[in-house]
Parts: sequence; structure tokens; C-alpha cells
Amino acid sequence: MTQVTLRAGFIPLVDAAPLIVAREIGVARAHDIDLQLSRSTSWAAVRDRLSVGDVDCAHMLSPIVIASQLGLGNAKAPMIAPAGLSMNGNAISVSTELYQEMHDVGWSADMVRNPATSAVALAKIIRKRASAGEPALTFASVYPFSTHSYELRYWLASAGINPDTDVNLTIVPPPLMVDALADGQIDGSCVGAPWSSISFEVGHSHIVALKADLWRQGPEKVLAVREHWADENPQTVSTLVQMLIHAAAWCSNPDNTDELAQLLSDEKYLGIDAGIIGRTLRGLILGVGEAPVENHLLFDPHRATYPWRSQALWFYAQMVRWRQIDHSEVNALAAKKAYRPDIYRKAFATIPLLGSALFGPAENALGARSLEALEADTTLFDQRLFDPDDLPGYFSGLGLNVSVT
Amino acid sequence: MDELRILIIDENAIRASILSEGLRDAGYGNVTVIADTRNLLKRIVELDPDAIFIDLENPSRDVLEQMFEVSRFVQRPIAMFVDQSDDDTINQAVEAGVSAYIVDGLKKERMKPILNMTIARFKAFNRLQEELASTKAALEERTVIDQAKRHLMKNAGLSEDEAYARLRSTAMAQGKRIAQIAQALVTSIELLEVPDTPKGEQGERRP
Repeated sequence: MTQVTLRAGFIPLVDAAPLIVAREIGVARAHDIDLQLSRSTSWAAVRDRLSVGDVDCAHMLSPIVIASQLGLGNAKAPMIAPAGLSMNGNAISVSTELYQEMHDVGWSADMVRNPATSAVALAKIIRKRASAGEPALTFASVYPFSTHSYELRYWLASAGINPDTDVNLTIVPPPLMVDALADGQIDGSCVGAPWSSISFEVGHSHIVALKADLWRQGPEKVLAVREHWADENPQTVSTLVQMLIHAAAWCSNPDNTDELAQLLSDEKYLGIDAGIIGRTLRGLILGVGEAPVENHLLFDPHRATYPWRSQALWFYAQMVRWRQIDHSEVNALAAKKAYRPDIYRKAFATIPLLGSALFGPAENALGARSLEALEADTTLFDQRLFDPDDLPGYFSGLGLNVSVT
Repeated sequence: MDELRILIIDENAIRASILSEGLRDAGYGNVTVIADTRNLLKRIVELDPDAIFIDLENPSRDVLEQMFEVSRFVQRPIAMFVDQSDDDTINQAVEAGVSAYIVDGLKKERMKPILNMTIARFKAFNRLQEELASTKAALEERTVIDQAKRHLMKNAGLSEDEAYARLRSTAMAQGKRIAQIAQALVTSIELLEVPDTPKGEQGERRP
């Protein structure tokens, strides 16, 4: 087989690891791929580079891929996700002042692993501020179509805070989040690893909720490719997915954590202290207790790399919830088709080592897993179950008046 | 024809001035440059631009996208990449590092020359950067060659010309550049040099 050169876009975040590892430890070469990595500083830039074919694949926020299929969010070409890259890793932080206020209303740091409590404390503060005529608090995520934005909104809304009217929601790029918290531009943030930890370590903020506690197995970044390109290059996409699964398996092996932290810390990738990255990878999150956080950041191919269509629909449901798009059968189908388990399964089936028995045979996104596993994966911290087959039920459960068109 | 209002968002003052000067020379008089992206929405609302040019890799692009997504106060500009069918121009823009947001409905014919001008100016800026980088590299090479010459003069008793000639002939024989040979020499001398015995604790630990 001849070697194929592929360019991959990424943002300097810990969850770009599978792509960086694929290049650095020779996984790409073993799959006859000369993987060239191209770093960007904004999601808009990664999206544009992928859209116009300046890169062939990219580390991407899953909602951007879904938005591209729905004609939202400035993508020139529709994208698909033939595989996931990671799960969890995000955290919600508040400024030192707001953290103190939360304690003043009865919250305490030992409640940090129960995100419902921090949202309730925040709701009290928001009501108090509103009745005193004080300005609304400002919270930042990283992109309008981002996992962070939906998590932040979900968490706020769980305590009855309306994210569109009770707070100001803004966007701050991850590397600028630390400064934004430090100089009071924002009162809180939801950002990917390791930026919350960095901000805590330099004394500007405290973590009050972890994504791993919002959603035990919360989907995070995906591998994105142009749909048209995937249609024209099925073999290449399949090989790319196999490469990724191998790289993800390497990333999730605890024996490799130190080496992974070293690789990522390189100036051309994250340019961040390897110690902080290593702690993030181990789930040792300063300020949220001594014990490692299980599921803090997952690359594990048994869970994180399968592109569950139910997850695409969860993001779609959030887009509907926050009025970014109207619900319709056509839109739901378009969102679902952004994830391509068919490509993944085909690629996976030919990997002898990992076997293909892990996932059930049904094309249904939830496969043939046990009901317990299904519920554990799709139930969020507020105990609300997301049933991808019953979107109208989900919307009405949220009190949304969604008329199906 | 009413004049187009063009906004340039760039923290790099040199690039911004190269671009705005080019646009003014081409007859686009209404050009505003913003370097500080604080209160961006307010500024944009005040200026009400027809087109916004920004470095493709400017982190503030994600902030802009949010503003255009949610704000009722700005006309909704869209990324040039969406509406343009001219793939060649788009590829050139990405290569040059340009991104643009253009208010929906603005005719492509009117934007095209401005976009081309911007691409050309970004390219000119990139060339300038490259020249600066290569000048800097050349200066660094010169420094290391001078260092190597001094070592040869001191340790091998050569004259300056002889020292340079030896570096050059070694480079030719090994198929390398003089600066590479000079660097190798300087590095090996650094490695061979015995540092002064540290005083205090470390010294006392010796038998």
C-alpha cells in the first residue's frame, strides 16, 4: 500500500491527543499515513481550514459538525464525524469572588462533585443580585456551537437559571480564559482541559462542576472530515479511523500517561507544563478533592471513539432547546447523519486485536448494550434520561413547546 | 455608488496599516482599524460595517461568530467561505491567512476586488515577515560563525582568514553549510569545556 499524506487540524487542548499521538509514536506510519498536523487558535479557523480542504480531517467540536449538516454556523461544506476523539475533560469554574459568594449562601467545597448543588447556590446569588439591581453575571464558553456552551446552559438551567436572560453568556478562547477570569471580564467559564486547572493553579478561579459529574460519559471532541471527501475516499477514511482507534487505545493506557503528557507539552502542540497535563490525564484535579476523578478525560476506544448517533441527537436537542434551530423530522435526521457509525463499524470490524463484538449489531445508535449501561450513559446529573427515539417526549419533559413540522 | 464601510480587526499594527493603506489607495476611503477586541460588539454596532477583515487565526474569530449568531444589533455578516463559489480565491485567502465576514446581500462583484486586494496585502505582509525571519536567522548564523572563528584562532593558532577557510573547506567536504559546521564546533567546545568546580556543598562531597 502506498503512503498517503493527510493533514489534520487541531486546537491546543489535551483532547487533541489521539491525533498528536498517531503522528508522534508511529501509529499513523504503521497505517501508511503521513500525518501532518496543523495547529489553529480558533474553532472558526479549524472549521474553515477543513471546509476549504486546507486540512483533510480535524479535531473538532461535535456540535460544529452537526451544525454544518443543519446549515448553521458558517460552514462552507457539510462535515461528518466517522469517529469520536474523547469524552469529558471540561470543567465549569467561577472567579474567586463568586466562589466566596457561593460559600456565603451555604455551598461548600465538599459539594463540588455534586454539580446540582453548585447550580442551586449560583441561582440564589443570581436572584439576590437581581433583586438588589446589580448587573447580571457573565459566563463564558468557547464557541456558540460547543459542548461547553450546552453543558453550561444545561447546568444553569438545572437550577432554574435562564441562560439567555438571567446571565450574560459570552465567548472567550480557551487560552484567554485565565486572563478573562483574572481581570473580571467574566465571572465564570466552561472550558476544556487543562485550562480550568491552570486558572485554579494561578489563583484566579475555582472549579465548581466537572463535566464527568454532569454526564458520566459525556461526548466531547470528534474527528471531522468533509462529507464529500469521505464519499470519494472511503478507504482512506476507514484507515484514518483505524489509526485513530489505535492511537486512542495508546492514550488510554495508564502506562503511557507520562509519555503522553510529555508529547502534548511540546511547544508545537500545547506548549503547557507536562506536570499539569499529566495530572489532568490522571484525573487529579486540584481543588476538587484528593481522589482522582474517574472519567475525567477518556480516550478509551471502548467508549470514547464510537460515534453514537444518540449523542448527535442530544446535541441537536440542545440546539432546539436554546432556539438555535426549529425541531423537525428533517432536521433531526440531518443531525443524526452527521455521525457515521457505519464507517466506524466497517473500519473497526477489520481490526483483529480489538474485535468487533464490543458493539451490538443494530444500526440503532445505542446498539445492543444492556439497559443499565444505556441509562447510565444517557442520564445526566439531573437524572433526566435522554431517549433519542423520543425527542418530543424529551422536549415536553423540559417544558418546551416544540411543534413538530 | 455608496461607499463601503470596511472594518479591519487586527492586533498587528503593521499588517493593519499595510491593508488599510492598500484599501484607501484603491479608493475605499471608509476603513476603520480596531486592534483591541474589547467591547467588540459595541464598536461593530457603531461602525455598522459592510465587510470585516480579520486574520484567519485570530482567536477573537470565535467571539465574532457568537456575536453574529445571537445579536439582534448587528446585521448578520457571514463568513466569506460560505457564500463564495470562487474556490480559487478562497484557497488563496486561506493560504494568505485572511478571513472575512460580509454582510448578507452584499454583491459579490463589489466584494471581489476588495478581497483580492486584502489577499495581496496579507501576502505582502507574510513576505515581510519571512524576510525578517531570514534576516534574523542570517544574523544568528553570522554570530555563530564568528564564535567558531574565534575558537579556531585561539586554539589552533590560525589567522581570521585561515579560520574561515578551514570552516569553509570542512563544510564543502561534508556537504554542509558553514553555519552548521560552525555550530557543531561551538557545541563540541562547550561540551569539552570543564566547568569551574562548584564551591560549597557539591565540592565538599567529593572524597
